[in-house]
Amino acid sequence: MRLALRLVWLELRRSPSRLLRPAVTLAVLAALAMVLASLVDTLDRRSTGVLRAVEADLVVFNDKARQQVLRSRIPRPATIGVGFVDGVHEVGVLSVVPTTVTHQGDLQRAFLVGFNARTPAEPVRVLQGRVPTDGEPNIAAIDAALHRTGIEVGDRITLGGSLEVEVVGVIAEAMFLQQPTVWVPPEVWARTGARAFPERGYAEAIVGIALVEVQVGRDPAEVAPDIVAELAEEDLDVEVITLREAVAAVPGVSAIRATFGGLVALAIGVVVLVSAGLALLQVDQDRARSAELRAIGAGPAVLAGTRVLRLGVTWALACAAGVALATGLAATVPAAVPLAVRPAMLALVAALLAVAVGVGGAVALRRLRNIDPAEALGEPW
Amino acid sequence: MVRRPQEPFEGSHDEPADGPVLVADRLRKVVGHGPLSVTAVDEVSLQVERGELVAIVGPSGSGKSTLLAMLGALATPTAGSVRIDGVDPVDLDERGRSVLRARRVGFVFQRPTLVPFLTVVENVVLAGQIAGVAEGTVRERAAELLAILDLKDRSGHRPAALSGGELQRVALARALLNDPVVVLADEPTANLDAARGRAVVALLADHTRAQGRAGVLVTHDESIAARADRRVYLHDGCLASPDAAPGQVDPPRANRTEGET
Repeated sequence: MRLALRLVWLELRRSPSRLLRPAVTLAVLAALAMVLASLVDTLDRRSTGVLRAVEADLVVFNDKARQQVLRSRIPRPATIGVGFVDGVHEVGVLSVVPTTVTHQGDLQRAFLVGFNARTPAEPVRVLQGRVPTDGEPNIAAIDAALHRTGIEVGDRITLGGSLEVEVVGVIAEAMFLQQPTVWVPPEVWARTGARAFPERGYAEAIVGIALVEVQVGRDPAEVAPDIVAELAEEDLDVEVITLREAVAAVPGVSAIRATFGGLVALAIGVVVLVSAGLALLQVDQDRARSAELRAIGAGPAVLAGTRVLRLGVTWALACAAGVALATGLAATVPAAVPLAVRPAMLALVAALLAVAVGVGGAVALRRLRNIDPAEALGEPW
Repeated sequence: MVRRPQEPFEGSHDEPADGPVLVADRLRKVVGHGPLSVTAVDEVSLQVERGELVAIVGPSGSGKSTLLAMLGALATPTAGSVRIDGVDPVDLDERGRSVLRARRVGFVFQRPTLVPFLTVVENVVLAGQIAGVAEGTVRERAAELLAILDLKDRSGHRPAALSGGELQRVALARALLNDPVVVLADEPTANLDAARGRAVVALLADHTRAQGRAGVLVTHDESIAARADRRVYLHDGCLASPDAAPGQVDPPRANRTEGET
């Protein structure tokens, strides 16, 4: 391996174009895959941020809501009973209603989230200040997306055109259906909702969904039927699913994942084909030299090691260029374009590309293994 | 005179042993399948003693290179056997054959393909690195060989900057670097002018005679072959040589095509 490493290092230093040419080709594909993956990731997260902001094991929906947070209505007293179900550790409620936020004359659409503080419904990541607690009437926390529009802690904003509240904190981005969110106590949510949509029957006794944290060591799947049974006794038909399932049920998420996931898979598939083609081309170009090296005693491991290292260098260069391109693009596109680059997503795509390049390169390694050292003598027969 | 490496490596033979270095016994090579099969080499037996340079002479397509491939453990015979310094390559696995070629056989090819991004001296040293010899030892010896082959000034150049003749001499230096027990050269003078061709053969002869090694030289040039200790003629895959040892020569076969595989 030391000899292979040395050869690849010298080749990279002295004939970089031989490694850079395939790297540039793969870099374009890597950037495409990273941009597509970042798009699907951003669209997904900006659709489901409200549910991603909390930590819960189970979500209780009214069974007529078809797992939609906006449609679900549960009598608040009923959620108290959930807390007594065997295996339930804690319960919180969370409700969402569309609203408007006015700040210094600028009006923008947002979602108002009513939640119980110090329950599974409380957002986990607070970036500045604090979140409101139950019973605090005229304060709110905003998410990072709204914070980026210029609203700061201490500013006063108007919700729904009539309710003025003070911003006391900023939480991590928790967008819902591509819009930023304002987090308030449940009673503020009910009051604002009732003013905006009097016909929908918003009241303090009504909440959207209940978020449940099960006891340590308990399987949420086992606890869920007990919650359904408990609420059935109170003549309330509910559906209990995991938080992950609830995230997937947000409108548009499955379509986004299927469409962009397919495109990312296509890009990865193209990487497999391109890397296989490039590697085969190089093996064929180097065939005479490989045969001669085999003839003078280089074992198959040296040649294969050299090829694997070259693939690795090509992959690393392509990923570095792809990250730079994707990051640069994300920094230059308008804020309205849902393209935010996350290191974890880039790392995931880089890992997928490594697999793709490996699969493509394996085809070339097979051909390399079949090179006959006697070819160094030309075609003797 | 080329000095041998001071530190012998595993598998090298510093003390000449008795007996021939290279023994080919009734070698046969059939290529292709079914009715299209061709017997490229047929019942060839040959011995090369220590200190002996043998020239294999024959027209194009007579099976010279095929024979050389089997003598150098590059190809497996269909029948018969080869022993290189007492070792039958058939008894070794792929890795073992690679080690055998790296440490005991030196090859000079008709059209050498050097590593383009390595300098001349690095290409020569590469043979030692493949054989696992200490780098300091091989660098010293490579410099010595390049000086003998009049390539000292070119040692820092890349292969692309060399003429065909210079490439051939670099390949010769690479072949001699590990002080192999046998050097197999396939038309080594094909790309050289007469003077350089004679110099290359002289170096080969020096290596074999003075170092007690063996050399096999494939050529179609009688004047080059005449500088060898012995000439064997190959015709249609069979030996037809008055120089060959008695009983080791089969009559040339008129028809090389057989149905066997």
